[in-house]
Amino acid sequence: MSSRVLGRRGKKLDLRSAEELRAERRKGRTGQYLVLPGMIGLALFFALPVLVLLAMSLYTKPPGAEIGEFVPALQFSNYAVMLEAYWPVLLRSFWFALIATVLALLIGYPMAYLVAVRLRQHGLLKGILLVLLIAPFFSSFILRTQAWKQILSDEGFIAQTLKAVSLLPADGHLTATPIAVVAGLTYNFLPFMVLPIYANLDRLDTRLLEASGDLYANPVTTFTKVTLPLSASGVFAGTLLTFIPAAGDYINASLLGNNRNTTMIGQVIDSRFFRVIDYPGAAALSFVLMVSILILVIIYIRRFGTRELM
Amino acid sequence: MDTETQTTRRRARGSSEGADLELTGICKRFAEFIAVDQLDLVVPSGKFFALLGPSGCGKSTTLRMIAGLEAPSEGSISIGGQDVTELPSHKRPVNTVFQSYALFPHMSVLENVAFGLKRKKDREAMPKAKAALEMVELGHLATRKPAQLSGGQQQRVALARALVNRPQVLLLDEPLGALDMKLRRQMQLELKTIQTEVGLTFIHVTHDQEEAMTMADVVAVMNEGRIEQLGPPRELYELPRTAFVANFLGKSNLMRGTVSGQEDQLLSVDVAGNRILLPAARAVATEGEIMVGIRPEKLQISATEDTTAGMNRLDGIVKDASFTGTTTEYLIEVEGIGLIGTFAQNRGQQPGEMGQRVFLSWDPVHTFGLRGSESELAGVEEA
Amino acid sequence: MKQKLGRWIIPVLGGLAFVYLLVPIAYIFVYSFNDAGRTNLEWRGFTWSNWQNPCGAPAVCESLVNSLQIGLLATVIATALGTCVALGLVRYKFRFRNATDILIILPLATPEVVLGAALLAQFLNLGWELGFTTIVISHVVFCMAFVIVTVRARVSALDPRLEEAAADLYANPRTTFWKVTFPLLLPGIIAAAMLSFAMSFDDFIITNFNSGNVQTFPKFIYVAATRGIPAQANVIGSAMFLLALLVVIIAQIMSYRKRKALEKAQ
Repeated sequence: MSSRVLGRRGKKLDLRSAEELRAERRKGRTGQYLVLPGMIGLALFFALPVLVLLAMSLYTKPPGAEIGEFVPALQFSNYAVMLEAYWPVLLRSFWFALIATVLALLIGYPMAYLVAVRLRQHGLLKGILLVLLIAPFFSSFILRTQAWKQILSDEGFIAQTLKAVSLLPADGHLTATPIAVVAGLTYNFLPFMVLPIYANLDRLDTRLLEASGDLYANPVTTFTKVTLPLSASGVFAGTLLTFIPAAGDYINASLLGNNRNTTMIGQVIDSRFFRVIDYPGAAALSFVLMVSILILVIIYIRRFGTRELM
Repeated sequence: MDTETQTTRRRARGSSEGADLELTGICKRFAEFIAVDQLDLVVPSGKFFALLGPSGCGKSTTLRMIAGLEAPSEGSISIGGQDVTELPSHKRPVNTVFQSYALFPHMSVLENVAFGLKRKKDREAMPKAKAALEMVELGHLATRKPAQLSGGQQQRVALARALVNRPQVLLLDEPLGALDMKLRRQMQLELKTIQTEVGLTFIHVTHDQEEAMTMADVVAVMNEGRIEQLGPPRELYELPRTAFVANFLGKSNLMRGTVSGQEDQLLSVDVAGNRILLPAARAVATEGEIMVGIRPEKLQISATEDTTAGMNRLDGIVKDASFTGTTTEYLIEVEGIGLIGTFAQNRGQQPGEMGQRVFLSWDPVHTFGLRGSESELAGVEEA
Repeated sequence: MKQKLGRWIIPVLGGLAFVYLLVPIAYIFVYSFNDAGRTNLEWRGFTWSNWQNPCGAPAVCESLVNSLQIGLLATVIATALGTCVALGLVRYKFRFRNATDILIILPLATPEVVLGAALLAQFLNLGWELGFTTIVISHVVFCMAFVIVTVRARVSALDPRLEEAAADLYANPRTTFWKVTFPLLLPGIIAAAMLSFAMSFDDFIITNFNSGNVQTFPKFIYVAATRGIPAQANVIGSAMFLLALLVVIIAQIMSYRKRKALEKAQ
């Protein structure tokens, strides 16, 4: 008995170390040469810029300076000023992004399931639907958002119909509302939700679903106990890839919103940079946004995370 | 030595038809685990050699070291007298039939087979590859992709892909593991035939003892990184030298006893009050506590006591009898020893029913003796 | 009855979601035939003239050409660098592993507006003039992160025994890479490249921060949106969508036919 346990343990070690060994065998510098150019690129044009942004967020405006002139300093009050002025906007951004993420999940999961599982045997149709998920990128995100604005406009068919059946008050609007902004966010980031879930469900072994049915699970139970847990890492990646860009987006808010109760943090950062020419303020807000998203993401990963995202 | 002169002659002719393979003091250590421990092995040219052992015993690691896919931590490897320890895989005159075949999925069957020849810049790569495919009777499937072949067909492609290069040593890493029983038997015969035809040195790694015994000229049983015993299949089966070999290669009844005397090259052993005889030459240890072994089929089982002089005798109660068609298998509880397994051909006789007392006897020449310090269960669960 | 409902609910919901995805594209397509004049807001009658003269509106084709060039260049660079990084990370052991992991994941977790702002700060700091080069650099940064993650998954999924088999069959490391590893990774690399191009072509926010006076197609539309988007933009949006669809569908049909033919042969 003991020799068997030993054998088992031995085998496991054997496997793991064989993997290590493969990496070990390819010592030499090839690995570094492969990784280095890309990593230098990311260091120069990602890590360093973020640090520059951090430094810039602490700059101060010297007395009597021209517009856009700032000097290096440690002006931590920039953060206080910005947070005090814009915390509701920041909260709203996260709130909108959260609702959009949940909606995108509800809409996107059936899409992914349809393509990955139901159409598994229908190669051609599956391929076409898959293309339809990516092709909208080419018709331009802003053009599509603008199209929604037109479709939902007061004179548009949908608003008129809703008014006719009194679902919308006669003086009501569909555009320029928080609902329109959230709908736009949901629409625009939907492919980012569907693609990871699709990639995951595509590998789902459908015999497991049959096994579940065989073991007296009804379709709903099969879904919640088998399908959903097995696609969890896809859902996980999809929600992150939707939430993060949605929280920082400003196109939907500026095209579909009304700038009073729909302003999102991205709009503020943009206007601080380009209209107010308050670089430190904009940098401080950017940094606050980045750090709060990172904190949320880390909490989320801790709570639900799998390593598969890596 | 006959094989030695043969190899020298071969080498002199410059033929690539198989070569001696020699492993000297091979060790393979992973982080905190010893996979192969001080292995010495000589495989004479042209032999069909099987490395047999349970999973995790180091046999695949050994094979990978011969192929050059792993570097030994210590020791050296030579093929046909040439030290290849430092030679990378692609420069070794060795080819492998991988477990689950590792056929290139993006190439056709023919391209797969021609791959090695093209790397060696063989001008006749394509015709040779075609001929190799014909040899394994897959010429008509040359343009298919591997995924479109059945398991048995893929296995033949893998074999053709390795053989076509005429390596000095051909390595087979559990090549039949993924096939069903019937196909396995068929492929075993074909492999053996091909090996005899081409005369290459084959090293076959397997955990299937029957496969090793039917195919190989020489079998090495490996356990925990060491070779337990090496020899022709019959010798290994008839005279196991360790409890692991006795249990892993076929079944054995192992009984503990104490040597009580020796006369005429026969040891007499006291096993729970019974006097068991065994040839001293068949015992690893000849004094003190030893383990006595006998293969199940060597036992005679009958309802009456065998009184022939010089036979070993035991008696017990039938605990289990299972009918398997040609034979009936019995488990007999012998007082002070435990369960003894045996079987009888179904020739109409009925030596005993459940709960009845029966008598066992066997010729002492079949008995073997092992070290008393070993566990009688070694190798039972792995088999 | 219940069974039936279960069978239809996914196709219906999924189908509706696809319709939802395509509604604005249909709208864009229809309004590309609008005899719009200056603003393409309400329907004024059918015309072919926008399609006959897609470059009719000022700067629309220039911005398209810019976007295509930037997309192509950024994709090539990001795919090449990203694939190398992915290979290096999976296959080789080296120091600073955790730091490199963070450096890869962080760009994906950074909102575009922050990345755009950070790059702008960096370019201002370096004193570089904003334009074509700065756009390409910024696009490479966010595309590369996607390429690394996609290709890395492919490399990890690759059966190492195939490479061992190649080495066993006398292929030196270089040949092994080009004859075995690379062809097997290619579908993943192509998928990553397509996604890169799509994201680069459609990016507005990061581009807006780092483009200076260079127009890209999304930027052109954003600027035009305040005054009314010319119908030619709809033509180009529709044409690009249809082109993308056509290219991939033709590729799909070809591989589908090939597969069917092979199945038949068997």
